[in-house]
Amino acid sequence: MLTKFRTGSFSQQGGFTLVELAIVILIMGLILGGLAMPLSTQLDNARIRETRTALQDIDDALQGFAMTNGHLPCPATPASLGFADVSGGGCVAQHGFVPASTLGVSGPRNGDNLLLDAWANPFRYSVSAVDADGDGNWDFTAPGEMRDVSLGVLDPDLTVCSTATGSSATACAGPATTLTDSAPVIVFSMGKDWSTFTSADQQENVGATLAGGPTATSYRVPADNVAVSRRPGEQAGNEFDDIVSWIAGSALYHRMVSAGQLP
Amino acid sequence: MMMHNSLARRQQGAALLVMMLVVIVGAAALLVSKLDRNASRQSQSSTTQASLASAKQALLAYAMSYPDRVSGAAAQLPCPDIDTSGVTLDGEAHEFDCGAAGETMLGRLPWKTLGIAALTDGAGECLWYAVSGDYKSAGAATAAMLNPDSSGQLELLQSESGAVVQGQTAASRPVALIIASGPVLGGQTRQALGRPGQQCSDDFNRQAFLDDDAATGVSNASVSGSVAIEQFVLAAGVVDGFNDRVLPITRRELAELVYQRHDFETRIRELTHALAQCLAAHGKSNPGGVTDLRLAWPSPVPLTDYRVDSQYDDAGSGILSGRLSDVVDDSNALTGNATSRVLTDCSPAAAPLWDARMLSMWQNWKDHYFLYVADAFSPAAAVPSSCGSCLTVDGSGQYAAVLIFANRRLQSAAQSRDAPPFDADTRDDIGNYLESRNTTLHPYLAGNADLESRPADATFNDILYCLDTSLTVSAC
Repeated sequence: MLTKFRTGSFSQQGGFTLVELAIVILIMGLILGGLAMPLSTQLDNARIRETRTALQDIDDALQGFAMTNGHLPCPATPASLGFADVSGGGCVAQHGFVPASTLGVSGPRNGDNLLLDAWANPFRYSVSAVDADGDGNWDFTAPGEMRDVSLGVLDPDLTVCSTATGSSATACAGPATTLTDSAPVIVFSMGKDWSTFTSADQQENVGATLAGGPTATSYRVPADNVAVSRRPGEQAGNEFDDIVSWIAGSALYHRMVSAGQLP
Repeated sequence: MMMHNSLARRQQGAALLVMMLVVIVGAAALLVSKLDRNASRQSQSSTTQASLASAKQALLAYAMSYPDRVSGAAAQLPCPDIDTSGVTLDGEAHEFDCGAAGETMLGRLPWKTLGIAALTDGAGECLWYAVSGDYKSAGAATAAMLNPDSSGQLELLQSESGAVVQGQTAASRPVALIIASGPVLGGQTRQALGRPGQQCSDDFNRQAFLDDDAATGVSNASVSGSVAIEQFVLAAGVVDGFNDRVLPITRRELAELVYQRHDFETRIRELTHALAQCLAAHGKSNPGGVTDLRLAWPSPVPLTDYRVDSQYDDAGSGILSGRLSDVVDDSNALTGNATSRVLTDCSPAAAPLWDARMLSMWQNWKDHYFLYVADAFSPAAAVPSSCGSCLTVDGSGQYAAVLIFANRRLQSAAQSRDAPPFDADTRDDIGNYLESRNTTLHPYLAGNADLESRPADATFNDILYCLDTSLTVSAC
């Protein structure tokens, strides 16, 4: 009886698995691996799409704000809790965060009430601080200033380059690397690998820090009027995954003229 | 034996289960990958649509704000990016090398000039763009006259039916097209991006991107290189060997931008007032002294080419109603006035409202200006100038001349303002410009003519400025 059992048990194990199982596991591994690869790419792609859509919504909201108020909102800071940070009629910061509460944009927020991209990192927002008539009011953020300065004179100065190489605090290396030198607004997401910004192109976009919110987080923000936008890349030392968006001056004027805010 | 049997059964069962699992997982993988491919095809198509729409918005915005950037200019569209040689770079409009005047140009969308990012279609290709000759902002090759009545020079056919889907009439001909080239088709070889930071390919061989449509025989890759109506093709569905996607811009869309600006009427009134001042200044500069206030004759309503300044000429007209003249040699022959061009030679010293942008504004709107001159103030009248029976407006006043701005075409009056070379001339009829008595009084010969002025409505939108018997200008 005992022998019989032992024999049975033994032949059960030996007769089937080892080779078959190895093949099955191999096949399943291949299939699952093949499935999982595009799945993670798809997830990344979905996050990129989501972030692009959010950027589009922010652009629309900014233009809508300008259509009703005649100027652009000041950037939010960690201390202003998602609202435009205004002090004495001027902006507290030129480079900060999307004032989502002022704009009424919905979306996930963090502990400092800043609007987040698909990787749970706040969107950055910069506005041109140009002051054409030298009266101390920024043309694009001070109420009534866009109309006072007048359409023919307005000349925003935010600059987007295709590379940080050779760029200064105000301009790209040359016309060939300049994508625009006259954007009134730049909004961007730091992308998937937002916590590391080792390449020169990524550092250009976040050369300064801004803190002061309830969570005491120190955020990276742009240091100057120059941003970099280019195709994503993974090459070591030249990584780039920021998603940068800007509004053309003429598009902004067009919307404001149709709303009667200009000229 | 019994043992062996049961063992065999169990083995078979397990293998079947495993096989089933493999088949299910395999099928699932196949399904997911297929779904993925469908989804990506759909997202490619929606990317293309979104890019085309963004490009259109950017072009309209550019045109709307063009007069603010270039004083006195019309709402012009940029030239395409034709290549990267010379002074222009990737994404910049080829403004100073943009064909002859009136020639339609085809190239890449000048995204940098528009101030936007380099828009790409679902296949990752930069967008293409064709602009009508009269609408391009092209330095010396810019049209001599551009206003919302200028017609486009593009025609859009449908591949499947061969029918003209847009462009049966002057009003419906697109003024510009944005074209997404889509993925590579058989026979097309496209150069890849070369330089770092480059946004669009240096490859400007249009044949490599834009398609020939076999059904209609029209190629989206070619324009004639002369002043002509250019045909392009779009497809509603899937057509073999053709995958361009096309979005037109109509002149109506541009016209609305011009008319909807709430400063439009203010600016036009300023211009009309200033033009009337120039005419008055001309009358006051007659060598006969302060009592000789004779003015210049208008030009005929029908002209050979409405775009050319020098056509607005009083040559031998001797008429009292017609278009506002610039060249007035024939009038001067009688009055002895030394200024041969009323408007081109006008200056702020003579007409306080006149400024540098006024001349180019007049050049763009010149077919919209009409003039009635009282016979007592015509070049042939007796001096000293005085009114026996002069012009009146709605029964009141005594006016030496009345300048009328025709304003936008009225649907109710079925006004049409087309012109050769592409359309039959309907600008030769004053009724296509002015309304009610302002039209029916033409041709005005002598005596009293009572013109009409009232707030704009669906049947009337003329704007009148009057010169009284001492040539003082006022709205009337």
